Formats: sequence, C-alpha cells, structure tokens
Amino acid sequence: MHARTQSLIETRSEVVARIKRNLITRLSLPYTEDDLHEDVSLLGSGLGLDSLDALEVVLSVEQEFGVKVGDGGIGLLRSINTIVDFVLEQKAASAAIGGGVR
Amino acid sequence: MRNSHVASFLARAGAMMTDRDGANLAAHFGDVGAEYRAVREAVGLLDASHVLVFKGPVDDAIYPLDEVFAGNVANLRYGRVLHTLLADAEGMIVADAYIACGDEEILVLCEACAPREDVARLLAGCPVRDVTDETAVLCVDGPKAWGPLRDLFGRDILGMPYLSVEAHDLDGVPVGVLRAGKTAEFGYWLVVPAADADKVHGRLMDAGARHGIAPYGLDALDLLKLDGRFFNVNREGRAVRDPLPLGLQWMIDFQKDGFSGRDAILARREAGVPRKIVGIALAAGAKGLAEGSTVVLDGDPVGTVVACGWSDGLQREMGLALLDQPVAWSGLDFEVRTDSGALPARSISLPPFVPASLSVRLDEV
Repeated sequence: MHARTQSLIETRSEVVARIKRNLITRLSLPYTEDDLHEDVSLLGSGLGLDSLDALEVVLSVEQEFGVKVGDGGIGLLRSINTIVDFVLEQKAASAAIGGGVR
Repeated sequence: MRNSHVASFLARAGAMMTDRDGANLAAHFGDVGAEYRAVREAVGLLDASHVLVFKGPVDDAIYPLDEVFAGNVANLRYGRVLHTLLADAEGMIVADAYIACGDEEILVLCEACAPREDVARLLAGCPVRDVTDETAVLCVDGPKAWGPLRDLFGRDILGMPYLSVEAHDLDGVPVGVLRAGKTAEFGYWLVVPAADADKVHGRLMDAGARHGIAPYGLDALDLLKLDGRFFNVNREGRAVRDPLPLGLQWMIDFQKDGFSGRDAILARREAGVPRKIVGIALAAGAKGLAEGSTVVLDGDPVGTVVACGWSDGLQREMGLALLDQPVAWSGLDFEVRTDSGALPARSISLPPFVPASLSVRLDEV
C-alpha cells in the first residue's frame, strides 16, 4: 500500500473511531464500534435517531473536535461517514490558517 | 408466476414488465431517469407486487415471530413498524422485512432474495398466513409523497412518525398505511386488498396529479436504493447474503436469546468481519462499471463490485464494492478492472447527497 493511502486511512480511521465511541457512549447504543458501519443511516432507517439524539450528536461532534456544525447539521447527520467528511474538511481548513480543530 | 395486482394499469401505461421474486411487474415505463427524478423531486408510485405479505393475530404471532426475525419483534408496540431481516440457519439473509403491529393483526412484509417457499418454511412455526396473493402493496415515495396521502386520508396522516402504521378507509376499502420507504425520501406503503388495488392505485394517481406524481418501476427503485444507501436485498443482498459485511447490524438485536441464524451470525461477528461494503463512484464521464468487476488499490486486488448503476443524483456511475476490511474506507482512489479496461474510481460516503425530503417540514405543508 502506498504511503499516501496509508496516511489517508490512518487520518480517517482515527476520526471514525472517536465519532463511534461518542455515539455509543452518549446515546447508549447496544452496539460495538465494529457493529456500526460508517454508512449506516443515523436518522430514520438505520440507527433511527430522534431529534433529541440528533442534537446530542451535533453537540458531541462540536465538543470532540472543536468545530461548529451550524444550521446545516441535519444534512451532515446522514451517516457517520458524512460527519467524518465534515470534520476532515474543517480540519483541513483549520490547518490552512493555523486553527485549532482537534 | 403471479401477476401484478394493478396489471391493467401497467398495460395501459406501457410498462416494460419483468419478473422478480415470482411476480410479474413493471421494470420501467420507458424513461428510468424520469422515474428516478419524479421520486427525488416530487412523488412516485410503485406497484410492489413482489413483496410477500403475511398476516396473523398480534397476541398469538408476536412472540413466535420474535424467535425467527433478527430484530426485537417482542418489543414492538401497537402502531409501530420494525425494519429487520430474516436469516436462514446459516445466518444468511433470506428477506428484508417490515413488521407492522396493528390493532389486532400483525403484518409481515418481505422483500426476499430466496424463493417464497423458503420464507414460508422459516415462518412455519408462526401463526401467520401467507396473504400475498390477496394483498397489494403500493409504495408512494418522494418529498411530496405526503400530498396525495393528505388529500385522500386527511391532514392527520402528516403526523405519522417514521416507521408507524395506521388503519384507514378509502371509500369502504380498508387501507393499511405504513410510514416507511426505501428510497431515502418520504415514503408510505399502502397495504390493500388485491381486489381493490386498481381502485386505490387510480385514486392515488388522481390525487397525486397536482403534486407531480408519476408511476415508477423496479429499475428506478434499484437506483434510488443504490444512491440513497438503502439496503437492496435483490442486489447486494443476493450477492453477499451475510448481513455483517453489508453493515446491517442495526437490523439485528444481538441481545436476543434466539432468532433464525443467530448462532452463525454471532460466531462470524466474534471472529471479525474480513470484508465490508463501501460506496464507489467513477469519475464524471467514465462508463462501464459492472457487477463482478475487481477493485484494485495501489496495484493489489482488494475487492469486488456487487451492485452498480447510474446515479442521477451524482451524475455519474456508482456502485457498492465488497472490500477487504483494512482498505474499506471512504475517500480512497481505486481502480476498477472491467472487461472493457481499467476505470479510476473513488470510495465515497453514503448517501452522497442530502435527500430533498430532509428539508421538508411536514408541520408547515
């Protein structure tokens, strides 16, 4: 595997693990991290989170990564992967200006 | 082969017919893209005659069903619907199922990747009756799906939460309405007596006219499931069969003492899942993604394409690939080797766009 591929996987897997741990802990989900596919739907079908759960997820992402989700949050919550994409974009943008996304 | 319960409408509408799960129903109406867009942008109506329907008294059936289906049927409350799966003794998927708990009866609606007889055999110990031949299932999907339902059944229907069921009446015809769907848009499944299916179908088309309703077929449904990231038992389900690499753990209650295939599924879960399904998309303009194609990463084969199609939402070909776990991540650049050559592809996060229904406020319509 090329070094660039390895680096992309390491960066993504670290964010995925943090999000999964938060979801399981804060929502008391009866699953292990391995049980949660990154594309599982968070709203409606899939994990079936309600609006209060969704708020909890937004807060956990903001606290964990030091980002601001904002009003477009509902669209981000399509899956774990779409949250990860958002966090990685915020990290990249933050790094470009020397910011503090964790 | 059983005929569609709305066969006369399909013939008048010029549907191209296909066989699925022992049923003859519409593959498309001449323009799959237009049917897809009707569902993504307005409202579509699907005849789901391929769905197997079983029915039984709630009090008698709920616990026996709980011992068969992977989800927690026993905890299903009145008026609610459970989305779960049915597995065989080896823990391989047989059907993707909605189980709806009505006032007195429980409904089991199965999309199967195994013959009807196999599903019936697994349910043999449950006091449910196969009513597929006497029952029609009509699916209304799209960001405006609420429109014809509200006009026919009243505003209260807008208050139905996702995965709920209500009994309604349409000019004397009993209609079971499930707030459910597999397109990533708003959806309602209407369960009606087969003898009245044409009538209800016609009323839906009439009521839906001002909301832009269009009939859609199975070809569009497959594409809607694909880029809406809804499990398709007839595509990736049939190709993979094992619910764990398909990411269907959410359909399974691992705390339950028993369900069909439990031991096999738990053993595989304990051992670790070696491969996992991931979305992939070709570069814009690239064509030729095919099921069975080998997926290559940095020169090494790492997986296989198990489902694919044109995504109108992405405006490119996309698919689902079963990849080795260490490389089953979104955002990587792959190569897909097809009969016509190697195609550059990237793994993507699903669903890859925000469905229009997510921005609709039903309390404001």
